Amino acid sequence: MSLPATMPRPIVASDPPEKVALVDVQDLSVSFRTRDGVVAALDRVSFSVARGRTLGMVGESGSGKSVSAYALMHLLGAAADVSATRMTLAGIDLLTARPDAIRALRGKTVAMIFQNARMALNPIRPIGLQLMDVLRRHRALTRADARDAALAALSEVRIPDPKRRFDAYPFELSGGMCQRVMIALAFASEPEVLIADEPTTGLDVTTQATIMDLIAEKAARRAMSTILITHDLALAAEHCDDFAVMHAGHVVERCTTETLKNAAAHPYTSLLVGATPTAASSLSGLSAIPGNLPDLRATLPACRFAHRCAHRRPVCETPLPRRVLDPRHVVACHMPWKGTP
Amino acid sequence: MTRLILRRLAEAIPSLIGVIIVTFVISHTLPGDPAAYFAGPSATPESIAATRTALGLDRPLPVQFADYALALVQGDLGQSFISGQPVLDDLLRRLPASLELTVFALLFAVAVALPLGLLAAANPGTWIDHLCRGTVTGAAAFPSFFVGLMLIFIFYYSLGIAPSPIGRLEIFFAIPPTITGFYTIDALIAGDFEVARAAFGQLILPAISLGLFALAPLARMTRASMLGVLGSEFITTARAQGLSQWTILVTYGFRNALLPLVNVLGMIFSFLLGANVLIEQVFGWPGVGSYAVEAVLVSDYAAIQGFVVMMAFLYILLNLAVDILNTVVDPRVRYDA
Amino acid sequence: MTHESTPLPRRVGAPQRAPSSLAQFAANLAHVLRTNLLTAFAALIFLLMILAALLGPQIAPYDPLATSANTLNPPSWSHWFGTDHLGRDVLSRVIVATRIDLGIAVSAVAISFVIGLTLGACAGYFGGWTDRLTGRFVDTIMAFPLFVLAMAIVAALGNTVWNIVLATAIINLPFYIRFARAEVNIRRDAGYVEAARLGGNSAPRILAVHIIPNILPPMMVQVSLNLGWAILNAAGLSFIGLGVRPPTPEWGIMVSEGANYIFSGEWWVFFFPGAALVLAVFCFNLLGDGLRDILDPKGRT
Repeated sequence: MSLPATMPRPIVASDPPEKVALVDVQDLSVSFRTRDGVVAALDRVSFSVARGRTLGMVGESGSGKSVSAYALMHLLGAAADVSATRMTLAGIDLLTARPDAIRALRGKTVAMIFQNARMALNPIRPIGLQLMDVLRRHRALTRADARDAALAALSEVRIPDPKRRFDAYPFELSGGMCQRVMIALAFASEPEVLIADEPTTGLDVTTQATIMDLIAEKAARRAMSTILITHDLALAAEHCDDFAVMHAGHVVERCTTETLKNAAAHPYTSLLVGATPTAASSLSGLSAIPGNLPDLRATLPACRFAHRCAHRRPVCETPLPRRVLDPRHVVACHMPWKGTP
Repeated sequence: MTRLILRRLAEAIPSLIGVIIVTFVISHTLPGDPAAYFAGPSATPESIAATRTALGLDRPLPVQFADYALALVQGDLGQSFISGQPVLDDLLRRLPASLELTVFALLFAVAVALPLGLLAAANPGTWIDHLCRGTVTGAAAFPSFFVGLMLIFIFYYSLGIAPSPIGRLEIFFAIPPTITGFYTIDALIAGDFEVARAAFGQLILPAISLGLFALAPLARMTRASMLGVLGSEFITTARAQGLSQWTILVTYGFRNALLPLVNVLGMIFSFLLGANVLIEQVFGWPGVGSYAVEAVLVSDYAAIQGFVVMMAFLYILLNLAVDILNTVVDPRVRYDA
Repeated sequence: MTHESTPLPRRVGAPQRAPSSLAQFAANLAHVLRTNLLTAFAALIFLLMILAALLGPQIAPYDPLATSANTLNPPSWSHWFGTDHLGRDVLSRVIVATRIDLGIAVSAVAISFVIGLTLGACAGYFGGWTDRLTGRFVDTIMAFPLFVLAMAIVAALGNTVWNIVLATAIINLPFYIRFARAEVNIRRDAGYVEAARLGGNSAPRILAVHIIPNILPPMMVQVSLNLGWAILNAAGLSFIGLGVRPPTPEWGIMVSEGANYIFSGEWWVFFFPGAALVLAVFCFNLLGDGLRDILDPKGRT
């Protein structure tokens, strides 16, 4: 048996702050046993996030972005088979730690905010009480102190009139306000890692911007590592330092935002960029990505994008390499290109 | 909240009107001569004629209906010719017995069905799940009167454990002073534990017989509801926030799972009030159900009519209570229209 | 995002399960029967009951009405279910009673089904006043505890078997009306209905030809489940003395007659008719569940 993990590994002075990866995942594979067969949801996914940096996980719906996050938080059900060569979170080795040690991380060291906040909150419990539940769970507070802390948390996320809103139910609040409550819940215990799963989908553009600014502000204040999962490339480009582009359970490209915008090397990434509207583009100028995600229950080829790729060659049938184009740019493609295609 | 209750009361009024109309139609448009029915089997032509005049059965129908409705509103349900008493008095005297039986049956059903449903929901697809579902499905196939008879045969006749099924209390026990009308509660209030125990002993078999059929819908709904809740997004959020297993299961899970259960209660009350009649027959229980059966067999129409009106009224009240309970448990309902 | 805690990747081209042809229905049926022994068992019992109902008097070992001096004999080789207080063979009476009990239940459900389907379909399709009136009608019935209402109807109309059927049919109406209304409502604005409407079909024709055939499968499931309930209701009514009179063999009054003898230990008089009731209801419930699995495998509770 492995050694029990307890406290996170203390950050040593000699470690350069940017280099310390709070999240490090190598070769994560997840498959689900379902009634219709085994679904190979993730295949050797690798990504890492250094302290203080934001990673954007982007891709189409169903590409495995959320599954990766859930695997990290051990929220996948019993029907999931999870394996990896390395999975550490805030210094703790998730592969060898005891289940209760991992459960202790949730909400305290790593927090998650979800899409569609109104559905993600308990519909028949006032939000103030939900906040107090989390606060009292992770901090030893009396009920009165927890109530004050909850009120403080509500004003921190700039919910107007916190005293009155304390007793409100999620269905009485707008989508944006519910998302603020989610953020307050996530930050209740000063986590080191934040996973935001599509936090702005379903909100109007102005609210999206305010929510993202709120997240960025809180993340910066605590030098957290943030993983932003979204299918909105433009939003991610604005708020992320690095990118992990996913397709059908593979990470096809890892790069910085600059590289993504100007020098994407994987065909899928450039298609994604091309399909993303900017203020200057017109609808006719956008390109669609041909084809569909493959059926993950079937036996899959080495490159899961090949059937949609305009540049497919016979070599694409062989196992995918991981080409390191430079220290911060990794591509899973036989024929990546630099510059415009 | 009070406004909501008043509104629900107002909404119940059309149902009440419907009940009054239906019972009028049933009893006053009988084939043959209603006066003969109301006068009783030993009536002479003179007494029938007298009954006809006394009950206003020679007046036009709309007038009869007005009289009937007015009488109902004043609590006059007519006279039973078996007992010679006003029907309302008869019914009110016997109502506590039926209520006590129904309450205990419901308690039994809830006490067994909820844990079964939760157990099945916590272990979906396993043998535990199948056993729970199989048991309640099996229980739903048994007519309640048959269950009662079987229980009497096994526990009273064969094993001798159960007391004699002749009513609420065996003769050598003193009936406790009436406060609620429930022998168990009244005995406890009076401090008489012997009588309380005896009364409870008499209740066990009939309560189980009556409540058994309600197990299936309750357990199934608990299971489905709990499974639905456990798979919902806010439970994932709660887990992601690191809340304790207990908090997740009880405060976030079970409390939310209760909501659909409250709605099943309405259907269950309908069944309980009906099956009451059968169980009271089997166990010689002196409630309104056995009163009604006697009345039906001798065609005591005032009594039958009174019984039906009272049961319908009770049912409407119970549904109202369920509605109000719903608004208490589910804050979203309070804001509907 | 789905409501599941584990987000599954979107499945492209998941196979359909709804039977689209008789062959596929038969294949589904065979699959269900093979994998679900209970349903197969229920189907077997169902067939046996039909046989007993149809051929009862022929296959019964004794005349169900024939009294004898062998009163209250326990089960033996000559009388498998024993004899009752008038020396009649219980087994024969139980078998012959199948016809009446099933007959009452099936008639009541059939009447209820036809009228309920029509009323509910009209309410669901036309809406407006039709819907409101039907709703009021249903609410009025549902304002009563249903068994009590059945008692009242039988008491009012007279103590005959036909009135038992009528009473059971009436209290069953809300069930079918609501179900038909809901199902028709869902399909009212479907593509093929629009097309039929644009094609100039009259409303009754649309209902009869396009909508109702589509709602029949789920209604069949309800019918099967409802049959069990109808049997229990009818048996309850006859248990308290309404409807069937002695010496007619019927499970409900047989239990009622037998009840007097449990205190002297003669359990077989009440037990076997009661067990027949349980078996019949259980069979219909299982069949209903099985039917539901054939038609919509995802619907199990």
